[in-house]
Amino acid sequence: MKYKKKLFFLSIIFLILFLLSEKKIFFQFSLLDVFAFLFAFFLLLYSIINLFFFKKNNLQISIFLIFILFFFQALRLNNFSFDNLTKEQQCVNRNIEYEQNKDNQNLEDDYINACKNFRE
Amino acid sequence: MIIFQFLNVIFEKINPRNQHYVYFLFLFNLSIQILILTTLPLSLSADSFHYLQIAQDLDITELFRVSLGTRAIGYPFFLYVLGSKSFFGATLIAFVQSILTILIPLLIFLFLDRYNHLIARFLAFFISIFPYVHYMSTQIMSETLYIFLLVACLIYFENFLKNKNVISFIYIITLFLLVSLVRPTGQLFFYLFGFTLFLILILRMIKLKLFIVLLMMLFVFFKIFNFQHTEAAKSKLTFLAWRQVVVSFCNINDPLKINDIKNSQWAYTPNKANYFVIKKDKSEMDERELTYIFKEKCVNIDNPGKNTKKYINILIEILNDKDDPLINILTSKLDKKGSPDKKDPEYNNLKPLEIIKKVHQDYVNPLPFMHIWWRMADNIGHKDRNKIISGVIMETLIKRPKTLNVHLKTILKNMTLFHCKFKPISDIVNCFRLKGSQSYSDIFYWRFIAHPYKELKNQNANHLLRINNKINLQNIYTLEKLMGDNLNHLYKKDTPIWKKVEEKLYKKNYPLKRYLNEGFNLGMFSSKIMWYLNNIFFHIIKAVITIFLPIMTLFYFIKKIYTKIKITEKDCLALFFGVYAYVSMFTSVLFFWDPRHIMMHFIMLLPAISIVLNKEK
Repeated sequence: MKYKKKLFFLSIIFLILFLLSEKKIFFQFSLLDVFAFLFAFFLLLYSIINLFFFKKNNLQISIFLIFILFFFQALRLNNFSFDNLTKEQQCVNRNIEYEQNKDNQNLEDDYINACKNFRE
Repeated sequence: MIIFQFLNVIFEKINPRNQHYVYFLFLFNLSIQILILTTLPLSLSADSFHYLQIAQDLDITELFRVSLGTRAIGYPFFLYVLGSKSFFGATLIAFVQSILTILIPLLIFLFLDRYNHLIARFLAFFISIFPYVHYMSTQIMSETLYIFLLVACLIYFENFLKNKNVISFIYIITLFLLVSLVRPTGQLFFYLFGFTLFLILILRMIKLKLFIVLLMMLFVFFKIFNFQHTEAAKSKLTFLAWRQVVVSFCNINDPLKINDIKNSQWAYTPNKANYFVIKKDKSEMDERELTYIFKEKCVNIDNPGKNTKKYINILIEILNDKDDPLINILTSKLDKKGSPDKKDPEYNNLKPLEIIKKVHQDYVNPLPFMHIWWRMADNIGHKDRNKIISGVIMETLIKRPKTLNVHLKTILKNMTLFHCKFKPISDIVNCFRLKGSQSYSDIFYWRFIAHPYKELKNQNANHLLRINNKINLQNIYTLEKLMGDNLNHLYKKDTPIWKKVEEKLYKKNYPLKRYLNEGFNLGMFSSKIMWYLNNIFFHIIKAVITIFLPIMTLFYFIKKIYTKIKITEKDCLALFFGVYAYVSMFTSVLFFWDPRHIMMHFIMLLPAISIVLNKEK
């Protein structure tokens, strides 16, 4: 029962983090970025305060934090679609896909289409 | 079971006295890691592409058939295991590197705690706020893994000295093997360890039977390392020496030549980009150019010695045998990546000897000579090539000992703090001024990003085709995201992307806050902060390794001899890793100046620093 509660709590937090990562609020920055920055900043302060005043250790919180770190890394590096790249880099990327598989007609069409504004 | 025993060596160091600080270090470093991840991109530099290409070619069934070039197999294998070829891209790699970065100061503290608790706290905190250790986790570079393994070596070497049995030996020798598989510099551990074992035997700390068993195991592990160590990697230092010597300038000794130059209106001098030697009117030369007019290349091609003659003859043979790639490279203009761009008309109809003479006279940039090095290996093999080139290097250095003068002066200038002018006081700031360096620009690196206005094949961007495209997308996405609004002014038809980025990055008198105020360029803002902070740390490290540690060590041993106190195991350990650190630093400083090598090996000096700082010796 004890673990079920913790797991539920963890799942809710990760769900919130995931939802925060969906909406871009400022250029390509999402609420998750702001949350992660503030979270890290307060954790930094907490670590110093804890060292001098609270002097508490908690292994479970440490493991939870490692999960947060993993989740944040995963979202930071994967939470984007092809459309989030600039038109210029979309063209470059279509070029790469085409060069890697020159026999594929669809890739060639995509490539020509993506680069029509940049190539004569 | 054996893994548990292996990890237990670390866990048993945690006790009620130090666990608060361990927890603090964990939280502190984790929060710094998250802060860095929110503000820095996943960055790929030239080395990253090479590592990723090797990982892409790796196949677990044919592990040792992959072409490694000058690299060792360890880091590409690490990338491969963490899914660099899969849909994960760099996700797991970045995560594991973050975890390793968090563990580095933690392990340092646990290791040094036995020396002195307070000093351990201080040094572990110093490493916790050392920017270099933290920002390297955002790059696909071997540093994070290498530093982590080095720190693990400290703990397990101490464990070996304490137990001196086969199990503790297997732990440490495995770690030494892993270190050398990640960066070949680690092979130095095998030599040092062989010597240490011999010393332990002489001091009768182990029995002869055990010594023979350990020595045989050491040999087997070294053979495993050697099995993947390529010919190109073995000759890397000769290659680096060749790159230095072949473009060095020496004073002209011939009075006739000097007279000719004096009487002439023009003279030869390196151009502004320090790429070619050009013929220029003396009246139009600036101060730098004028310092070169009475100089010539140190490698004497016009009047060659025995070894240089041999080199010229081999090269003529290769060119006569129609080695098209080499002919093409030597007679073409080279682009910024060192590949032949278009034919140079000045080389039309020249005979092989004339081509060689002209290349040696024309280039200040070592690129064509690097190509000569590679093509010679393809034609006559690595061993013969090394022999011939080593001969040219030695002959030049013996005939003209001043060949390395400029290089040595640069090293001294880079390494010492004495070039700083402390009067007026305001000049102290200049000592800590920000210097451009490859390792700094790697943090926010755009040089390998392809331009949309040209086809990939026309911009020599084939490196992008040889890695997992997912990693390329992750790199691009994080770079573009952190450029903020500046992204809209980045892609211009006739200007390379990296040029636009670096113009802004290296802008002089551009306050930091303007990066945020003008287009929210968070990437450049945080990269610059990392540079500034790291620069301060780098100066502290330089002061420690050049002044503080040598002097303090001398005093320490004089005191030991004077008071007849025995040399302890701690001293042996500090000496072992101190020698490793200094030899590694000295080699890299001598052959190629890169602050990264100083910073990554500094950690090996922590035991020595801890001992000399400790009053209760």
